[in-house]
Amino acid sequence: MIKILKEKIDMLHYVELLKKDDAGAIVTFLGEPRKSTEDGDVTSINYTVYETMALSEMKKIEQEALDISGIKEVIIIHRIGEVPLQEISLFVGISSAHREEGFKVCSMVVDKVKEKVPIWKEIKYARSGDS
Amino acid sequence: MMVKVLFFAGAKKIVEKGEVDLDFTGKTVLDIKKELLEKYPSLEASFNSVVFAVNEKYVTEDAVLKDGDVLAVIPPVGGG
Repeated sequence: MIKILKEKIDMLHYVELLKKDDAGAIVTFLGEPRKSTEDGDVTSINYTVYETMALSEMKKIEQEALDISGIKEVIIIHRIGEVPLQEISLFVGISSAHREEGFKVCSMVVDKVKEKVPIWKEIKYARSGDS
Repeated sequence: MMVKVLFFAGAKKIVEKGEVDLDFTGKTVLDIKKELLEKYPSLEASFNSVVFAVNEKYVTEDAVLKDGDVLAVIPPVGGG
């Protein structure tokens, strides 16, 4: 399953969808906006997207992961628009027969999302408003 | 031929619009890249790091365009 959402990601809902009778492990990654000293007074990150191409790239990544032996289910969800600190911008969930392939494929999927999916972030600061 | 050019993120800010219809006389993505730089010289710095997609698929600069294609100028992506 792949999705691009404008609203909050209900992670527990998607974890439920990852439960499979033939899966022994569920591995998830949650990405969220980061506040670091060098970034200044970050309040949120605004994500923009080339939506049709992003969905197409996410579909390819999902299929590539599902083609790996032992992978039972793949969920990739990216939130767009303004995402405040401590809210989830990216959810990747993998259910797999064993934990080893779950960890490996979850990491691979996150890397590919960051490398291939046309989504851009603009950091919002408390004072200036824009990055 | 007519090619629709889409701009995103920093490139969209520079051009001040999300898309333009370009009457294009060249052949490849590299040709249209040069034409865009002539039309929007302020894109030059950002064009060092952009990649291109035609009809929602990443392409190299030697890809050949045809009438009605949609070319997207893709600055470095930053999801996650």
